[in-house]
Amino acid sequence: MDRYQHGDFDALAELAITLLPKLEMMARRRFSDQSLAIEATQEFWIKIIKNAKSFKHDSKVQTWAIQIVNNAYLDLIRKERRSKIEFDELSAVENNSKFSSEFSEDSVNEITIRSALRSIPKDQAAALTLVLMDQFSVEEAATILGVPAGTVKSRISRGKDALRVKLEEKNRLPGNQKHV
Amino acid sequence: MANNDEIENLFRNLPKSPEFSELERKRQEKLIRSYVADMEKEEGLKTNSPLKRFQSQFSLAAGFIVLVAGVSFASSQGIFDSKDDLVISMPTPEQPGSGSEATEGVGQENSETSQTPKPKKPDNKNPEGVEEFESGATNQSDIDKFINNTGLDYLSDIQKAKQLVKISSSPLSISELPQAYGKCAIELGINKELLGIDKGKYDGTSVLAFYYGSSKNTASIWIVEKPCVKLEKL
Repeated sequence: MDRYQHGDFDALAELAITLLPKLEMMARRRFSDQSLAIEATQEFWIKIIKNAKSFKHDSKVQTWAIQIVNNAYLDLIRKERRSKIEFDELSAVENNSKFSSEFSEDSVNEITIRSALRSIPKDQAAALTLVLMDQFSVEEAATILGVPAGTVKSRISRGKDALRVKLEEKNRLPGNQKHV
Repeated sequence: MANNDEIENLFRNLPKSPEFSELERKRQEKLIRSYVADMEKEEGLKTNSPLKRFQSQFSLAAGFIVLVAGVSFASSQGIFDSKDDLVISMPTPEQPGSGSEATEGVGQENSETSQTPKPKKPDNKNPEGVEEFESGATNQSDIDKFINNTGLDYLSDIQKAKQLVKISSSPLSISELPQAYGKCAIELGINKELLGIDKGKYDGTSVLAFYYGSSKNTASIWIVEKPCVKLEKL
């Protein structure tokens, strides 16, 4: 990063390539559809490259990159709102007899989570995805987000509450429906 | 009613996409190299643009004129006639209250006064001691113009917001802004390039949009939620 900030663009490319496996992993966890995961990976490294100049050396590069990637993911799913998948489409997925029941259930869960994540405050969604999706510890998530661990805990707690309400609104939870 | 475990399981059980093929990884690497190469070309073009060249030549010329004027002024004040050739002090008439100190400086052998004459660096303090940013700093009435209140949603109306929001062509003086805005600009690390602020929405939430950058045309935007929670950089 130092080398890039002193004008070495090859160093920037090397940095992005070094981070690729991590970006791929994060994208695969977030999108079960491989073409979407590939698209997301590309979006992730573009964000990293674009933001590299503003890296302030107050954290590790990987920590900084994870924060950028997680934000990029949340931005991506928020942009999806008007263009792609909405809750309304869930019924289309469910009712489509072409899908096997397992595929349909996985897809519905994924779409449900994504849709719920974009409807809760972004700071809560960021904490939830890092801890529940990427399995970072609360302390690690706190470092990534640059906030105290207590803040992460409270965001997760509020996020879960909000998520629960959203999910129940859509009648997708155990006890209510077949999914999960 | 779902409990916490069920919410957690919902996340944990999300299906993962299959691993990327080696071919796909190579493709991504290639894309990265080509993207960075394009970026380097673009940056190269920017730094070699006629405007940049003109600006740097102009700065050099201006610096030279200031140097010559400084030397002439010092000479006309008889400073070079001092018996002690090594000790030269630059009179600083533009600093109220500092005139006597400057005069006292002549003949004193301390590190501040024993320098050769050189153009005076731009003073970043105004007479009241309030910090300003270079010569382009704006005054209070100007600053009010650049605190906008469009109320537009930056998730959906970004283009409209960009058209409506008034931003300065030079950095705003942070000390003239409401304290909370200035503090947030510092937290965002954009206090030296802040061009304007807009009160708006982001996905229905009330936010502040901080416009910053080196010029109006290339300004970026930080969207923050109160008090200064980063939401998105546009």
